[in-house]
Amino acid sequence: MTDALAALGVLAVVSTASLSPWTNLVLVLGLAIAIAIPEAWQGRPALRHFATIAPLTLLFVQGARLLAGRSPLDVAVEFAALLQIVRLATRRGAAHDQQIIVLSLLHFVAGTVLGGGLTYGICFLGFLVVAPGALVLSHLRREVEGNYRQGARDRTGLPVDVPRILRSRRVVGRGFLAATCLLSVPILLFTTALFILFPRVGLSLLLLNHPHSGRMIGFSEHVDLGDVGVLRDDPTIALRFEVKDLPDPPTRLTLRLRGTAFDGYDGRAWQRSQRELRPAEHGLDGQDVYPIFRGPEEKRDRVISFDLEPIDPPVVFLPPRAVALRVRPQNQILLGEPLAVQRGAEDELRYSGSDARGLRYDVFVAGDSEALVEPMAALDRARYLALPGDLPPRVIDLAHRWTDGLPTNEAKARAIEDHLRRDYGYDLKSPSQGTPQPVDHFLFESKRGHCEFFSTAMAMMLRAVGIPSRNVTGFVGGTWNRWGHYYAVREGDAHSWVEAYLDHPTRPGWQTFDPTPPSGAQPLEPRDGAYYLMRDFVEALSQRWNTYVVGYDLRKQVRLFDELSRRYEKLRSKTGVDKGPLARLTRGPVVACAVLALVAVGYVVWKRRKRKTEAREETSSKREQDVRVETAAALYRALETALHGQGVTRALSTPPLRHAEELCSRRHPLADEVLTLTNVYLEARFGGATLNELARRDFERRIREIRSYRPATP
Amino acid sequence: MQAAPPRHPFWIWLAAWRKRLRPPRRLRFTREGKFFVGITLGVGFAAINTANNLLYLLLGMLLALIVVSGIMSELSLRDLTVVRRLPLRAQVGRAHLVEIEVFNHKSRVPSYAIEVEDLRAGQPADKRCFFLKISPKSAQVAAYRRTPTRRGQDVHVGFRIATRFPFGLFEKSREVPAEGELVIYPAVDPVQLPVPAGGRSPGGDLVVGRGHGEDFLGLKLMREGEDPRDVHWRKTAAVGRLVMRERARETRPDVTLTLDVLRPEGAGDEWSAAFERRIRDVASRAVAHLKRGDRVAVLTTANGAARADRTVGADPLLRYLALIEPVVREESLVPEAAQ
Repeated sequence: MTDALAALGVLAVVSTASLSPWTNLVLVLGLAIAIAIPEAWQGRPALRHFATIAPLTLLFVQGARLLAGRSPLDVAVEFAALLQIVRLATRRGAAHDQQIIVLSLLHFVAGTVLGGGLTYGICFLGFLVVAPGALVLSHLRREVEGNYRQGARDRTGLPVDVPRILRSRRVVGRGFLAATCLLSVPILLFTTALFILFPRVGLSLLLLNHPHSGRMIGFSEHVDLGDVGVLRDDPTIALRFEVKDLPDPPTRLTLRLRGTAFDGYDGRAWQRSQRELRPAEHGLDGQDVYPIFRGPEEKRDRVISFDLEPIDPPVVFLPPRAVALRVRPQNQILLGEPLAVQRGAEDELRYSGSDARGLRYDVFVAGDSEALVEPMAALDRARYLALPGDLPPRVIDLAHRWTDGLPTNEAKARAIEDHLRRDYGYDLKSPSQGTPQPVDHFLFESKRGHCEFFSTAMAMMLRAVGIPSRNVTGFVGGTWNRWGHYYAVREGDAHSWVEAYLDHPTRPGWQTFDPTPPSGAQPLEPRDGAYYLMRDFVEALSQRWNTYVVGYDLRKQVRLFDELSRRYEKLRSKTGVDKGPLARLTRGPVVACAVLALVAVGYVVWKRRKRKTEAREETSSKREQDVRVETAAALYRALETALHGQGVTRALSTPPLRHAEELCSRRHPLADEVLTLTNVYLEARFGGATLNELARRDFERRIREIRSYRPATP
Repeated sequence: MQAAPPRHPFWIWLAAWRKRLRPPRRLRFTREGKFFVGITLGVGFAAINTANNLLYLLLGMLLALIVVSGIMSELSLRDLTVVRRLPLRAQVGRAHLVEIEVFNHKSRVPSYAIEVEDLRAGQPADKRCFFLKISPKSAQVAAYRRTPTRRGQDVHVGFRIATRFPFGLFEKSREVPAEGELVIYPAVDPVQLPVPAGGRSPGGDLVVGRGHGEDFLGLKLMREGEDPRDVHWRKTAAVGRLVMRERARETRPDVTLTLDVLRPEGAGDEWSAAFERRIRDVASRAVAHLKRGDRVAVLTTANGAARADRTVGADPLLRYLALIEPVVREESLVPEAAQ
């Protein structure tokens, strides 16, 4: 069990830290070897030397790596895991077992500040089950080792065999192990109760959670053409969203989630010409609401809840026609930077602050009938029409060829979109990547590429015909998770499309165009099969863990108690005890006090009854003992009187047994009988034996025989 | 001896209340327990300060382990009865075994890792017995070896039953009264006694009886198997049947050993040490004389006396010597033990 505990501790700390796969492999292999080393080898000199040398060597090596500039966190985690492996491989006796348990506990403590994802949760659950057994066994081993030292002998004089005692099924059997494992049930209940009830009044002075944010291509200030295509096969979850009031959730909901946009293209890469961010305006209703077009209207707008994983850069993804944003803040660090939402020049939203667990927010989406007007300043128009200086003229010519003669900008944009979708092929390994003029090569040479090539080509062609446009990156996707009841958007759903500004007479604004052929613009397909079923299950579990355990905070706590209180009130009103004289009696505090008083009274009654029962039992036992002693003494006195009649007297200083033995040594004819009766007397008088009616009558009969004994005359 | 002054009612009342308020169990941290509680406090502090929910989880688990430890140790300690079996006699310098038997009256739950300390009045509890497992409704016996260092009455007042089960974090104990007395005899050294003078000694055994001594007790007809060297030929010739001398039993003198128990006023520890040496010497000589068959009387200068012969053994004398206490010279009190 100690081995299992150590393995869980190492896994908890290794899984939460971001170590390299090779390091993880080495640690897991080392752990397996350490567990496999039989205990009989522990006495070997080589292992004893290893136990001394290995920790020191580890200390020096890790110290050197630290000085060489390795991440202190990684070095510390590796050191802790390796130390446990060395201890496990060289353990001898209960003291080492306890060291392993303490190290394992410290690993779990370290795991909490390193992140603590679902793997940590599973390891913690395993720890709950195994820890009581491991602690009990190591304690018993320590007791045995301490009390039966080397060379000790038992009552029979034989040497005490400590290993045999430790292996004994009589001491540690299956029932014992099962019972110790079952202890985890009350421990889990107590842990859960304390977790829920303990007030979250933390100051968050030291929130050391290790950020899991991975840098994601496509949302930074500078994006090279061809980068986004790399993401297409990555199944890592980027965000989850839940759409309320969906009666029959479809297995796939293709939601276009806008992340960021770029206005400047230099012929090879996209970038933003205006990089400054300004704080997003707060709504009047609360500090966490940020209007985009207007304030939220709960009744009119559809609400989509997002759970965004921590990615870098911290972009807030918004669905089309998003009118307002409401952030759901998590634990905040008192001394750290508070959570803040900022707005960029390309209508993008970003968040900042030290919350490394991503972002949870609700987006209010306007209905299709509502007109969302986005006016554009004349100064801004120029940057959305700028073309790279070295753009080949044939690209512009092609744009004109496709659009000349069309009446409106929208029709022109639609024509370019249709041409690209129809005449060009989707290819993740775009041949145009790395060429001096990727757009030109894509349009005229390869005619194949991924979404970035399509969107860039369309944006350039739109600008060529005088339509302001910008390149947008984001996600298109949403696969239903049947376990978690949410839609998952993966990094492989990353996509690039175009926004064109259309001067519509009634609703001028940016309109979305996606020139990528449908085969490439589709989100990752939902797949069936055991692996995907299991993957969905694990992802749902992970989400629940993050929501209800890692993300449990004071707000949720208050909400939980409010909910309980609300249900109680509902129950009161349902049963009709919220009116009349019962209204006061059934108030929460009154009921709580009554329950406490009942518990106290019950305890006092139980204690008093117990005391009375004990006293009664003691009295009855004493009385029984007195009767027994008196009966035995009376019988022995009768025996002595009978012996006196036979000329045998006992000196007062001679105890009864010795007196009988002396008669035996003198070969007195009554000696055997006297010895037998004396033994009966002694057993009844001092040995706790009970003389029943039959035995008493037998004793008296034998006394009569002694009294009537006459020695045979020669 | 001076009688203790009567206690003020307030102190009696206070002692009664203190006894009533004394918790039925005593709890002591073990070394591992101190570490454990330290880690728990550290995790709790970190949890409150960081609002890290995983630390709250760990804190809950650690506290739950403490609570479970308390319940399990209570289950282990409950419904146990301890019985002590003292030896018939014990002597300074010679090891003796004291048996401790623990009954587990629980019907289903075994008791693990029970440690029983035998408490003696005025002496540190240095002797304990360990019971790894006591099955339900059964008993386990263990014994401890003790070598007394001073004579006198060893008063056992009770037991301290303790357990560190299940996790070894705390030692929970309770004390149960169980009185017992053991008289520790003084040490006895081998003594080489001088060869006794032959013949009938003055004093000695007053009972005249047949034996193999030098004195003649009378004459009797010879029976088959008797030594012909004791035939009294003159009487044989006169009677016409074999008559032989009947010898008297050899008698030993009454040995009187005197012990000075009067303690001069102001005598220090040296006198006490010498007094103990005298007791040891008297005991050694008394036992040697008894082994030889002498009747021994120990007389003290405070008019105390104890007698023993071969038939009763050395117990009366050794018991007397074990319990004897010095008497201040001005007093002429007979020690209670002598009465």
